[in-house]
Amino acid sequence: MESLSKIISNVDKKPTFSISTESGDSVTCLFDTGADVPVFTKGEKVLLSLYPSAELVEGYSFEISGFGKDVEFVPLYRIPVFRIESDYDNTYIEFINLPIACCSKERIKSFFIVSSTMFSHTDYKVYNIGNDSKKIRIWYDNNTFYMKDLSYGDMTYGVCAFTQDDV
Amino acid sequence: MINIINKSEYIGKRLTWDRAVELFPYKWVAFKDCKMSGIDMENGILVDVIEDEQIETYIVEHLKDKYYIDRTLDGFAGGYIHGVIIENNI
Repeated sequence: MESLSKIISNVDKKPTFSISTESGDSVTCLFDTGADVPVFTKGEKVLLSLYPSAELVEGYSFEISGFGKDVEFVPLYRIPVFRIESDYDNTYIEFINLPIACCSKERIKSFFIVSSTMFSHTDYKVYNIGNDSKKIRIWYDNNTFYMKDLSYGDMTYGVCAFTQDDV
Repeated sequence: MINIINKSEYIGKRLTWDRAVELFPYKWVAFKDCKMSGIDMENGILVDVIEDEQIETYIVEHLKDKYYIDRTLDGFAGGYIHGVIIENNI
């Protein structure tokens, strides 16, 4: 198994790390074990400034809940390659055609909320104390991940699951 | 608490992050010439204080400036986020 490590914030109480975007800018990601889909919180114009190759998926929306309202319908975008690079070496993991619920949540600090479901094919550990403090380490066999719809029998739920296979 | 109107007293001055939180709670702040500690800013020169409603426009307009832009206090309490992709007009 390979691994990569990200420095997490000493200021934020929740595990937050920075990533480098397609545009070369640095933005924050909240690692959220309570989320089942990835979310961008700064609206479509900012998303497209940071990821110019991101594409709006016409004809579909993301129905999301958990931001204090009952349910919202927000644009669904796909980011062709969403990469998380190690802060210590050249290792990285990447998500191909990552579906993103694109919201405008001006009060949220982090630009991305990366859902725990994105890491369902990894092991991860948050270090808060000791010599390796304030970092998150992610172990993986294959550094490339894809999204698929979650389904049970004949019923398809549009909830994201992540797989190592390009299906 | 310092009223947002007084931000001009602090723009151009070097502030620590803690001081920025104290002066401008629950506001977005932009800094340049920052001294960083990991991914956190220790101190920097304050460029602007931005209201929530203006932050998306501000980010797009100032991406090239490479400012350190952050909200002093998080407005997200956290919790369970659930999402489903749906087809429109069904």
